[in-house]
Amino acid sequence: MKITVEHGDVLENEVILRCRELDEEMLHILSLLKSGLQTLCAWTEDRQLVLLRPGEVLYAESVEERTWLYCESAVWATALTLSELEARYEALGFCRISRSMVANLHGIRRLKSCAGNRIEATMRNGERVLISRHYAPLLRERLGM
Amino acid sequence: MQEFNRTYLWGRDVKYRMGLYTTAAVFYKAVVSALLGEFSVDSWTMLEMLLVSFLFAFAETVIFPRGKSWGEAAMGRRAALLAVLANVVYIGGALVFDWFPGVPAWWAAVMIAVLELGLAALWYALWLENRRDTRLLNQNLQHFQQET
Repeated sequence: MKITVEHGDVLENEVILRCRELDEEMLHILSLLKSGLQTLCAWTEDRQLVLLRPGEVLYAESVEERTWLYCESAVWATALTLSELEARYEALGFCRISRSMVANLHGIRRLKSCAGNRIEATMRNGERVLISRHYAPLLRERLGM
Repeated sequence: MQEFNRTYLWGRDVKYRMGLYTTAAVFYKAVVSALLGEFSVDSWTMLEMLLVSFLFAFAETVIFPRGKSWGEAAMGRRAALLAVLANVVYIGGALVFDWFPGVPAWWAAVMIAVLELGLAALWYALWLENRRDTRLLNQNLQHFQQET
């Protein structure tokens, strides 16, 4: 990909993406450009871009170097890594719950203490995710325990 | 060095558990002896109990190794295996080393029932602890969700 930076006397900074089609690389760049603190840019399998409110995301999972956002009834891909999601939206309740998952604490319906210091979280859509022994103390800390 | 540290931590784990189980076994023997009118436990028996407790503590660290965790079903299977092992090791130890000489058969049945009750109490304590922790977790979660 060719990158050109032009300096000029412009009223507003502008980014123009010029491509034949919206491929994975372009989607990543678009997503990074559009994702702010209040919105999260994601896309569907048919490469449709959507802007999600972080509150809509129940949890995020990293599978084969790709990050997936799980909402109540849909799954979206995003260019952000789990660490970036955690860092950006920590104040909004995002919390690391395992090596490959970040959960939105507002998306949890209930928690259950399990053997081996693990915690099972039931999400708003009824899905269950496991908070590993390693990350359970972090969650407890976030909850003020 | 890493291997040594791991072995050292494992040894410490076994030692703690062995101490706890030996204390329980000696206390159990002392109570049974007292009920039979004998108010002492000889050192040799205590040493045998230490050895049996070491075997059980060793087996426990193999069944539940430090830092590992499993799903609910696998955890249940391992716990059941440990319960069976507790019966085999301690009832076997009592028979092999003759810890309770002169105890009538019906007493032996009561003693086994007490052992089972002890194991059940252990599980009940774990269940209570999990229930209490679950309640606390949900209280704090609700508080967090309302606050932020």
